Amino acid sequence: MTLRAGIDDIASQLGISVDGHFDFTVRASVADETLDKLAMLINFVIEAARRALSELKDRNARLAELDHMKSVFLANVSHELRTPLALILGPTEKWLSSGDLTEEQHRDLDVVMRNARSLLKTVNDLLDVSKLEAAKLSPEYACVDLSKVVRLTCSLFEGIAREQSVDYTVQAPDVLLAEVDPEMIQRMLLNLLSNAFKFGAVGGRIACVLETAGNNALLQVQDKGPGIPIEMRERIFERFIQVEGEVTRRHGGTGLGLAIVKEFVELHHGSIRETTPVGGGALFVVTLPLKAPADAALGSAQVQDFAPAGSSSSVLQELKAPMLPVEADRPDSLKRGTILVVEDNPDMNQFIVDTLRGEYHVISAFDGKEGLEKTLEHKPDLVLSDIMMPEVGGEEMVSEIRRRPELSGIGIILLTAKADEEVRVRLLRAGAQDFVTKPFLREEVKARVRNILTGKRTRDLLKRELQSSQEDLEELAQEVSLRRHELEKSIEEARAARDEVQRLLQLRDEFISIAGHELKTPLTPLCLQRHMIQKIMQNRDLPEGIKEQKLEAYLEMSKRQIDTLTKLVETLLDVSKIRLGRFCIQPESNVDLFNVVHEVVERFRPQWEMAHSPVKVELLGEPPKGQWDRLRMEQVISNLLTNAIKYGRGKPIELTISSDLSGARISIRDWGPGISEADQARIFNRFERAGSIGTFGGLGLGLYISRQIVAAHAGTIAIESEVGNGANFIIDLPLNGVP
Amino acid sequence: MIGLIQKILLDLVEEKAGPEAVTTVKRAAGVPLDRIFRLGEVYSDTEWQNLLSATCGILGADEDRVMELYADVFGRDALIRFSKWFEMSANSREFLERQITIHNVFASGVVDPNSRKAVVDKFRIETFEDKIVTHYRSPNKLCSLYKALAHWMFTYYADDAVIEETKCMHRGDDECEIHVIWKNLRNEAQRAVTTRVES
Repeated sequence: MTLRAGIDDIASQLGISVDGHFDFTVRASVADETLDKLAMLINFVIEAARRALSELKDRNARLAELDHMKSVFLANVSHELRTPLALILGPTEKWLSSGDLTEEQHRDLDVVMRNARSLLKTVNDLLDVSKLEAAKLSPEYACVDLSKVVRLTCSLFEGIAREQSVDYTVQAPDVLLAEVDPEMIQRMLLNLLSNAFKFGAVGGRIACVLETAGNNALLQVQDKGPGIPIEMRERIFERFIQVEGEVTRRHGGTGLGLAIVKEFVELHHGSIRETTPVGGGALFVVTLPLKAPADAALGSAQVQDFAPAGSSSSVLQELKAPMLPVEADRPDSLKRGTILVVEDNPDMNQFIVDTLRGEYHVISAFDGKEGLEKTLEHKPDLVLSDIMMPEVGGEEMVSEIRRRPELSGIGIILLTAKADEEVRVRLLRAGAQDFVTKPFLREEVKARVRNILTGKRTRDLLKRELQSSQEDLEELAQEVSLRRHELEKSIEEARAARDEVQRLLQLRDEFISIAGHELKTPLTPLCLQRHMIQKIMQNRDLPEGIKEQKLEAYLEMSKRQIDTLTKLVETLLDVSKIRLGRFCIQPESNVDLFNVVHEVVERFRPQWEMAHSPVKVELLGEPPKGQWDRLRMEQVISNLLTNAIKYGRGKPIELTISSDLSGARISIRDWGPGISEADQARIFNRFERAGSIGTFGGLGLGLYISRQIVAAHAGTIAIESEVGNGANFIIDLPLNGVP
Repeated sequence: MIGLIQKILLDLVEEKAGPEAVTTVKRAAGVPLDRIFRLGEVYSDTEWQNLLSATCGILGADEDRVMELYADVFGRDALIRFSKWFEMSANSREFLERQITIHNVFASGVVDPNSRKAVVDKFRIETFEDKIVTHYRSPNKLCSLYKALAHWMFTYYADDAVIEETKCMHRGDDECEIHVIWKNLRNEAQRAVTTRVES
């Protein structure tokens, strides 16, 4: 056999797998190692498939077993629930019809009644499902007037239609005999009409039409509600499937109604489909054979009278509009806090409001969207909310609240029927603070609300305290900052003062040194001259004439030294007077300022000539005459001229005198090194000088005294100078400026 | 015992002692001379023991030495015949972790479910951070073959590993418990990444 034939043979062996069975192996019919390898690996794949299939079968069997157990459990639980429910409904109905109740008691019992009936319907649905699953439910065929069954069932909804202003029409032949299970038909129609009234908007239109179509009865229920989304058309007949939406959440339900309808229809060998009629809404079309299957036993050939079964009242109760809770509050309730209750079930909403209204101001909302809006509007202290709600659910609402900074600090407690730990953890992370699991006791709700609000109040108090402390701290910090700034400023000032003191001390030391030097300078020649005079006086050989001449010369020289010393002492005395506030001037009338200047210039001629600094005096206009202290003005001009000679050596000096009606001006211009702007500010202070001590002599008091003298005449003294371009001292004096 | 094992043994005999030696070994073991051992088919364990004994005799080596030589031939054969498994394994650890599945591939052609189960149940593996522990149960007591093959893998992948056999059927234990401990593993980083992704 060729290799190709060997491969073909393996392929043929694999053909067995088309049945979905893998209990086989393949074998290479040709003894070839490559074919053996291929066969071996194919067998491995088959083995893997076999094992997977086996595991799947085991798992399915286990699931089927669990499903059966669940159905049995559901049936048992439903049975067990029906007994206590009957014992709730019976006495409640008795009390409600007694007429001995207050309005509040009646309302509370009405809530009990309505919810017990709702629970009974759910229990009945679950029981039906479990029976259907266990194949324990089969139609009890009887020959009935289907028209009568339909009309009677439809008539149960007439009251609801009036309440909700629904245009409700029923069309059925006078008589339509059919072999059906009338109770199943009734349940089926109740569910379809119930859905139509739930989803058909208030003020809408609902139609129920029964007609024959060959050997079948055709039952159509149509509403003008939102309709069924196309993708949901097949699925709505599955168990536990509901169309998501506001209406579904408002009316609740288990999602079993349409599944039961479909099962009932199929038990009758009929069919059901949903379609969108022209104009929107939903249209359910049920096709039922008019004849029972040949092997089915007919319970009775008589047309049975129909009486609404217990389940119909449950269905109808669901559709009745419950009394909405009234927002309640007491005048002092605001003191305890405001609570927003968000719960879509009106009975539950009312129950919670009633539970809390005694202690708190309570506001109601019926879905997450409204809840969020009211939270934003009222800023409650606490939101107590359901999780599963139409439009915006509790989870989304919590996230929205927590996302908004302006709502921070609001307590949130969630109500949930789910004991799912994962959901709890997720919602706690999302910002919920506590949970109340349904069903709950009033005291539990009150206790949890109290806990959260106490915590919130404590937090708010602490926050306020903290804020206050924060403000105090900020104030303190500002104060500290200010103080620190001031302190730094004071330290800076103290440093500057210290520096100034040090500078002044240095100046004083320099001054003492200079003063010593200045005083010593005339004293040395004076001593020498005294010695020469003494010598001349003792020289008897010297002729008298010559003796006199020489004595005169030495005495003249001594006089100059004494004058110098006198000036120095006078200067020091002036400074002392100024410092002690005893400095004063002695003005004279009609002092000719030009004359004063001229005399001083002439007096200093030897100095300026020796310095090669010719002095030019210029008078602009008439010589100014005024009331001044002549000697002090001479002193000022002498100081300035001496400085000009000292600093402008070898360069001309210009003095200009001018006047107007208000005053006189003297300017003394030299072409020395000039004075920097920084030095200009200080040279009028004591002990200051423009040049260095080593270069230029003097006590450094001349300008200081000059300014004091000018100021004493109510005048000013100023400098115009540029470094390298000489200096111009300008004295302005009022003509009669003496105070 | 699946046919691949006998086939490799006879390949070893032929490689070391020539084609005539194969005939001698078959004859000594009582195996029909025209017998061709097929890869995935099951043959008598007794026949294997006889073939092994005859091989030791003709090669003049004890069983442990024959297993070393056998592992080399087996490894080289597998490298050609099942190269994909080597490509799939980044190092000796990854290969040995697949060893049970690979072993079961050879048993998948066994028609009888009980015989197949007997082959499949021979190995059980435990994995730890630094080692794997292989539990082996078989009347053939070929733990020395497992160890020889493991050593061949260390050499092939250049991994540094040691083997400790804490229990051995030859010593009267109910199973052989073989600890393969790696000191240095090639492509360890790749393995770590893989492990992390899986975890």
